[in-house]
Amino acid sequence: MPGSIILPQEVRDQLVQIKNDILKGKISLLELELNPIFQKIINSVSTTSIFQYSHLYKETNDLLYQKFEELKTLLIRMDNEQKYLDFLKKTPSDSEIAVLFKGCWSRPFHIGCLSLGFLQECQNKLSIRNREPIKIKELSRIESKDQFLLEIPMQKFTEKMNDYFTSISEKLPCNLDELFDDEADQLAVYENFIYLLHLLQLGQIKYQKETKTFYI
Amino acid sequence: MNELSIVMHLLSRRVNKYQIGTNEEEIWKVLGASGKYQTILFNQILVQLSHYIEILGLIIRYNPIDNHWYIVHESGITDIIKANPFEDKPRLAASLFTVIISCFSNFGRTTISEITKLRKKKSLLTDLQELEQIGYILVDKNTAEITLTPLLGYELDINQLLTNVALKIREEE
Repeated sequence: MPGSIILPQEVRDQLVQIKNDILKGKISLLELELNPIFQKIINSVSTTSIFQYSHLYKETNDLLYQKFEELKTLLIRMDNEQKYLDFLKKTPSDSEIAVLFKGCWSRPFHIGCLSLGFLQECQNKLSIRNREPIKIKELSRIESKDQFLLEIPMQKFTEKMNDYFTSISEKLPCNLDELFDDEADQLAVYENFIYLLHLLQLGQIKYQKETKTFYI
Repeated sequence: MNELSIVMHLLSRRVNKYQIGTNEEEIWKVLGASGKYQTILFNQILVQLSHYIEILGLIIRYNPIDNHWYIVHESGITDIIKANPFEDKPRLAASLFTVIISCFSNFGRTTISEITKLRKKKSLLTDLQELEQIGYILVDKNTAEITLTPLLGYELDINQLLTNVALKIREEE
């Protein structure tokens, strides 16, 4: 139609109408002329609308493919059934016949309690699992006149651990008892023991199992 | 519960050893649909559901043997899970093929003697017993008559098989 402008939506509406008519059994794909639709796409496509038309082109091609499939089926049906029997009478080998089954098998999907609710539940569980991992952030210090029961330590853990390391480095190498001999406060012993474990894990302090000695 | 979840349940259930899914009438009955628009509604629901399950690698199919609608894994997944039951048994595949073609030419029925004649092989009974055990055929012991079960229509795309045979015949011509 030279001169007239065709919008992508017009072609889309036409395709939707065709699909509905096929589903309702109003028209057969074999009777459907696809050339006018392809022609419309060719005539109205432009650089600005190319992305919209690429989808429409694909949809029209899908229809064309289905039309070919229907035609293929029709041709097969038109063949005389006797041809199949004649083929068998030629006694083809077992493997020759087995090849014909290629691409014909399918695995049915059946499950007793499957419903849309079940699928939605699965989706929810999956989205929970796919959440972003928890990020650990250092606490930020702010000045406040309020009194809090939970006090934020003055130093960060790493700083306190490093201070402890400096305080014991002169004693090393030594055993565990020697490290805690001077400390009478049990809470301080627990705290220092935690620092010691972290220092061992970080490799800043080493431990010899045979002599039970800590060393740098 | 909405229409889609009901249809999903009906299409994915196993009815008995030989049947899966459901037919159009049952869907209408369960959904309480009637009147001149019931076919449109049925088509719309199937199309909608097929879009939903496509992402899971599932496809809605029709079994021409018992007019049931059911769900299958898409071809890519079928290849991975090896759906071919005759992977290393070409003899059994050939026997089944003979039964299918013979049934196709005799209004859905054939006989043991007819198959023996076409196959030109001895000890064919073992093959037929095995095919019956899988559930693809039924052999009437009194009349020696063989029929295909609906199960075959669920697991084998007979249309595609006949296409492959037709192409093979043309190739040979």
